[in-house]
Amino acid sequence: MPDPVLSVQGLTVEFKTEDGIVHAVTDVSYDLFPGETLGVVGESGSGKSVSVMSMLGLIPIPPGKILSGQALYKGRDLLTMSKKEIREIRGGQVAMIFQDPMTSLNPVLTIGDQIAEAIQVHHPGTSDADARKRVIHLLEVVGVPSAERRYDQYPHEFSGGMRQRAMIAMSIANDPQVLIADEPTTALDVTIQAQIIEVMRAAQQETHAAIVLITHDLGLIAELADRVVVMYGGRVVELGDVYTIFNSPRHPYTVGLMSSLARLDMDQEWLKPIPGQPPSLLNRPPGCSFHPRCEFSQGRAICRTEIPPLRGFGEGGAHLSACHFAEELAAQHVSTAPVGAGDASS
Amino acid sequence: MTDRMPSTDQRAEDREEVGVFGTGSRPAAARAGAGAIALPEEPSGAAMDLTLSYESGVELKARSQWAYARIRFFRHRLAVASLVVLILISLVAIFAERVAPYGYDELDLNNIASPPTLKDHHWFGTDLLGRDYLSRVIMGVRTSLWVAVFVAVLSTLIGTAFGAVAGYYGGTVDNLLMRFTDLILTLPGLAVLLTAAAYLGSSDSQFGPITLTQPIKVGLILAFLFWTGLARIVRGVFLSLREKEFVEAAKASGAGDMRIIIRHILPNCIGPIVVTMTLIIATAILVEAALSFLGFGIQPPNPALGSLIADGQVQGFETWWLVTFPGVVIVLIALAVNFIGDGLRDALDPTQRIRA
Repeated sequence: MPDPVLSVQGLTVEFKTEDGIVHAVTDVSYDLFPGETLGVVGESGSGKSVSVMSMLGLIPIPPGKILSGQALYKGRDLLTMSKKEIREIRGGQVAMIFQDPMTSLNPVLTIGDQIAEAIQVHHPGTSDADARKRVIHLLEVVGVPSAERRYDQYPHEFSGGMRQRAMIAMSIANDPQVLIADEPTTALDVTIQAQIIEVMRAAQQETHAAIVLITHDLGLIAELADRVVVMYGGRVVELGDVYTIFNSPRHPYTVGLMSSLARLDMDQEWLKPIPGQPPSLLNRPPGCSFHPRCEFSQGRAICRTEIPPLRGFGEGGAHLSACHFAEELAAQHVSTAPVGAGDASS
Repeated sequence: MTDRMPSTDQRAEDREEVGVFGTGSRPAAARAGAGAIALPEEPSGAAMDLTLSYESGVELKARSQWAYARIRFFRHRLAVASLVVLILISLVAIFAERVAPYGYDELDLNNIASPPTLKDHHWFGTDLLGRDYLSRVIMGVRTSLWVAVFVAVLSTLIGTAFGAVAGYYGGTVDNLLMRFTDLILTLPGLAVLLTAAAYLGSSDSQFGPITLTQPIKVGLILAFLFWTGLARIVRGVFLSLREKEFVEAAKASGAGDMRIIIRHILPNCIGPIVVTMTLIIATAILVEAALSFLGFGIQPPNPALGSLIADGQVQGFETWWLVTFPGVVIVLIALAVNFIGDGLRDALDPTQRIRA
């Protein structure tokens, strides 16, 4: 069993705003193992992006504040590193792919120069010719046709999908160990999304990087992820490998997510939305943040008073769920959906 | 730990057994989609042909923003004409000694206060001491242009540095720098100019190894007052650009603050900077003329456009050419620079489309 390449322990991040303190991320822990793809899912505002951005020192401080926790990259805590050290890690061993390739590329620099810069920042001795050669290779890896010519073009001459390919090429420029993809397909249309998925696979093959895939697209998770972290209201509510999460979720929120999803393998008359609104992170409901929307907890006192801890299930406790009644849910789940579909009500 | 991370083989098996989306392994709609589309890693023949015909058929030459800007600028006729005029004037100023028919302090005692005439090449006439006025105006243009460019470059450097640092870092730094800028802005310009000019004196001064000649002194005073507008403009652009995702992306790829400021944000505000700089040149020419006219700028016998007018106006309308020629040149330069600024502003504004 390899050691985790990235290990987040008890990360808690807050933002001070005029309306009060926003508890963006509370006590989040997970491990990322070499070469795997870890999906992080959750609604907007569930803290998925903040948990990752704060690790790399990319949230504005103030108003942001990291209250506690560790983010160990190969045993070194990213959160206590100096600005200079973290800068060496960023874009080097830990790289990011951003959501919107339309705005993430500098409009006044050529695509090639921007990627070459990423290389030269981390390897100051690289000659322009060597950097160019490497950039053209990278553009070929991510499937940009006639890379030689494309090198000297500006972002506005690239389509959305091509720009995202260029962004991915930039992120793998320094052979990262960890690749953080923050909703890499959200800004693209569906056919391009499918291509980008392939490009990300190619990128992972090229670098053998572990990927943290932040998304709210469960289809993307099913396609790419090995393990999944489900976040809700700034906390991790469920963690397990992708099959367990999809087939036998042990948290009512995950169950809700699955039944709100259009699926090709099942006869669904209606999709079932999760009732209510995501919690305000300014003023979270007491106890389990999900209880006001939870069909499962209705009326039970413990849900309203006690924050459920993450508990292990399955073999050796690899499947974690933060629900007081996870066992009960599992029993009901299995009895109502023997095929292993994630719909508790069918 | 072992059980939290199943081995690859085991996962592959799982994949076969459990249908997540379809009846087979994990394929969702995404895989079907991906399969249908020719993947770019292995471009099919058809795709290649497409690219080729695209390249050879429709001539769609990709243009950089600079190419577009150049095209837009050259459609602005007034700006192009102004550019030609300014280049001519600048060439004359640069090669003043060779162009001017006489030395600027050469006396021609046979022709004192002569009106413009073809005789002896006194095309602009001569002044009250019999000096050739064309030569004096040419030298005056040189002095005035030199001061104006010096002021523009210096105040652009100061203004850009202030604005960039204030806008990028924000917070306390921004507050300090911008309050200082406000302070400079509230100074009564003319009073400060006159006081400073009087204080610095009218002759060359020596500060250690540095000789401050008169034009440099005037330039320093003007630059000290002129950088504020640019600082505000640059700060504004930086404030909006630093929130852009490409800045965050640059940060995420490990770029430091200096690199982001100079390489990523600054090129994005080159438009407003260039435009403001041309306007500073125009203003500097006018203010330097005013200052010299009042006797606080460039001192005789060195000619500057403003002091030439000042000397000429003593005699009133009798010697009209002494006021008219330097005056016309001042207006010409100021207008030309303003029109160029106009043209540049339109050219560098990417939202302006090129009309066929």
